[in-house]
Amino acid sequence: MTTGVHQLVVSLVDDLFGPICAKTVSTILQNNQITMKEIIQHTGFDRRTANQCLCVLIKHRFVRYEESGEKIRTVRYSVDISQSLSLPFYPLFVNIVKQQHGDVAEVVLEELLHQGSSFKDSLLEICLVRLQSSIKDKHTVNMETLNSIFEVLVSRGYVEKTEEATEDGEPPTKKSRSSGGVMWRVNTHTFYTFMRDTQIVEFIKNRFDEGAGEVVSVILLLNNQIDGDMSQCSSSASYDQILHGLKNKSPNMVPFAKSYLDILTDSDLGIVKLVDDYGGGSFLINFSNFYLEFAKHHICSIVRERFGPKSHRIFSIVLAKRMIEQKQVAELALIPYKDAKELLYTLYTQNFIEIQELHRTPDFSPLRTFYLFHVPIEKLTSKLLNVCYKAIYNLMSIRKDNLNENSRLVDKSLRADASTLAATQQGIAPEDLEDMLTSSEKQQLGSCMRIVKRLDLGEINILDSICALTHFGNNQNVH
Amino acid sequence: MPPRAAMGKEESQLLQILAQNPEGCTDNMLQQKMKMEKKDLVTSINKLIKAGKLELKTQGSILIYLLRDAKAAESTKGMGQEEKIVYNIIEKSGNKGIWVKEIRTRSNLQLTQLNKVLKSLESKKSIKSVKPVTDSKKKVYMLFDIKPDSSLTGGAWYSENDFETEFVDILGRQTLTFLQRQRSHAEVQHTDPLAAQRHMMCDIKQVKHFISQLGISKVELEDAEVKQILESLVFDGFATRLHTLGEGGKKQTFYRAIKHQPLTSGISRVPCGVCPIISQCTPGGLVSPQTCKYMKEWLEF
Repeated sequence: MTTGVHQLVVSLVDDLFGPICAKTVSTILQNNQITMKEIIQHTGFDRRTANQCLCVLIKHRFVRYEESGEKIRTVRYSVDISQSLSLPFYPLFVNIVKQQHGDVAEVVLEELLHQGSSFKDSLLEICLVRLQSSIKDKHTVNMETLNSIFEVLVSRGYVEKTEEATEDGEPPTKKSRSSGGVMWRVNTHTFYTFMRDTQIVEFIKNRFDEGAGEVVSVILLLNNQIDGDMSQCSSSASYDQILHGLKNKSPNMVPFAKSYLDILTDSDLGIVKLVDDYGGGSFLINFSNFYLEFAKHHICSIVRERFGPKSHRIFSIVLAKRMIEQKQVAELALIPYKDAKELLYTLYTQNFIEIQELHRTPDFSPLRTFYLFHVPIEKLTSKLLNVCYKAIYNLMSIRKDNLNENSRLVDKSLRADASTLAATQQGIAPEDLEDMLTSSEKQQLGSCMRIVKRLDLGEINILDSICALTHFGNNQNVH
Repeated sequence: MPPRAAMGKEESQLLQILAQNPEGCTDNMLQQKMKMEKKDLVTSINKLIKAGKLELKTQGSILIYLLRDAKAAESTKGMGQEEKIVYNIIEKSGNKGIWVKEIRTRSNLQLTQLNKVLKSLESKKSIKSVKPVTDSKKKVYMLFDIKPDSSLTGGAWYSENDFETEFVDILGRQTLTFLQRQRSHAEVQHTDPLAAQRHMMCDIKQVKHFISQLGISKVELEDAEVKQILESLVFDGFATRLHTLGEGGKKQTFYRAIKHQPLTSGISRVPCGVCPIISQCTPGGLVSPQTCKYMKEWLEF
């Protein structure tokens, strides 16, 4: 991982937990693995502060610890970078749960993400207080509904049990074990799996049509392997199972199921595969192929936006042909030879493609050497991933500056909102209240909020690319 | 060359035999067929070679006599010895042409002498020089009436060494519209996706027919050229190709348009995604997001 990623992690922690935690994380990152004593030494915090800080970070799984030594027990702390990098995804997780299970589930998940990990009872109590204080759900929500919704979230795999954490950040002791029941935390894997499945369906819909997307979504629903981006294939679904699934989901697609499956299995994408001919056949989704195709798709899109359509064509040719000579590229690209050469070398200098030299004679003479261009896809993926993280970091820093500049106005507007709310609760019409903000202040606040909104939107867009590229990277590392 | 009437009976018989065997005859074959003494045969053959009617070739270790075609024999008529040598070298290069340097090494002639010979051959319209599209400085020579290879001229896409970018672009766009129209037609007419898929696929012949009907191309496009256009659409991400077994179990390639435009990756929607110097960009640095002009424009857009 690069310094760019480290910067982002520190910045994310700073946003959520403040400068003390950020300093601790940055210290741990600099030293990779580090003991409590060293943390205190480097940061200059007292033991109590460092303890509390680590406790929070461990509860959120941003920091993990490892015990070593037999006689003298030493605990070493390190930062879980991949877990920390899932922080920007939290709003998306909340949105997924909101779409599927409604507003109450949204509050439960939001609260759990906020706590990191928590006991069920204390979590639901907080949720109840929060829901009852909001006007909308005052009468409909009670502990029973909350309990049932929590159970639904557990059964869907969005929430999972955790090992017991302690109050002081140290590994569990006898005292802490006796004090409570089971702790719960959000299972980020399930969310990533869900997001991946949505991406597959969208990809297929774009490549083929709606119906093909429906069939694929049914196969994915029948998939019972939830291990994020690690598995190579989904579990196989028989033709009858798919038909049954389609009957429930979109009955008008049932007569065309066979045709769609034929189209999908015949395609050169290799995402849907036929594994068994018996009884109409069994089908599965090959995730590895999807990750590859999807990553290629994103990389090609990045090339198109950055270098133009002609360069995109040249890049796709090199990508498709694996190893190719300059002359062949120009012939295939239908671009003047000179232009093709220039575009090819621009891509080369920007490290989007590489050259492999193949000497025909042992004298390594350049005259008798093949120069083969190829796309180093793994290297490129991790490079672009770093660009994505850097872009998020940049957007975050601009947002922070922007909000800092206008902090007085933001505070004022919050105070105004609070007083309006209080007034309406007392029965005073909002029109009768005196406006606390002048028109120029309102205008300034409006433009600030518009910029923040745009930055947020940009961040969500980047997450889309990050998702595609990390899936491919992780899958490559495993297999 | 002596006139035909001056040729002996043996010579004309020899020419007849050679005309019947376009593959060429060996020494033994000629001896058997002519029923002559070897010594006489050799004299007759020498006569014919001198007259430019006969050619000698080696196949492995065997010597073969070939009839030189009349036109070729005519073309070297009246040429000097050096011109003949250069002409033969150029003739052998076929439609790919040959570079001056190569002619020089093969003919062992001095550069000035060779230039003189080439100039005289060119003025006689026996040979011509062609500038390849790949390297316009590297002139190559070939026989006057030979059509240069497409690797030299660049095929239909080049007119006088200039690539017709506009022509190619229009053809590409029109072909894509054709594929898309086929797709929407098929989707309207067939509810079954497999049938629709079959009807939306187009092979090269269909596309070729469409292009010739359009009338934008002055020359008839070859299959390979139509394929080039279709392939470029595939590489652009607007179409896909599918291989199936066609008539007689032969592999056939079909093309169809993709339903939607290719998706844009999220990172490209922010300025940092297309920034060439993102690696040097850091808050507070010389290149920084706070001072970035493009970022400011994007935020205020």
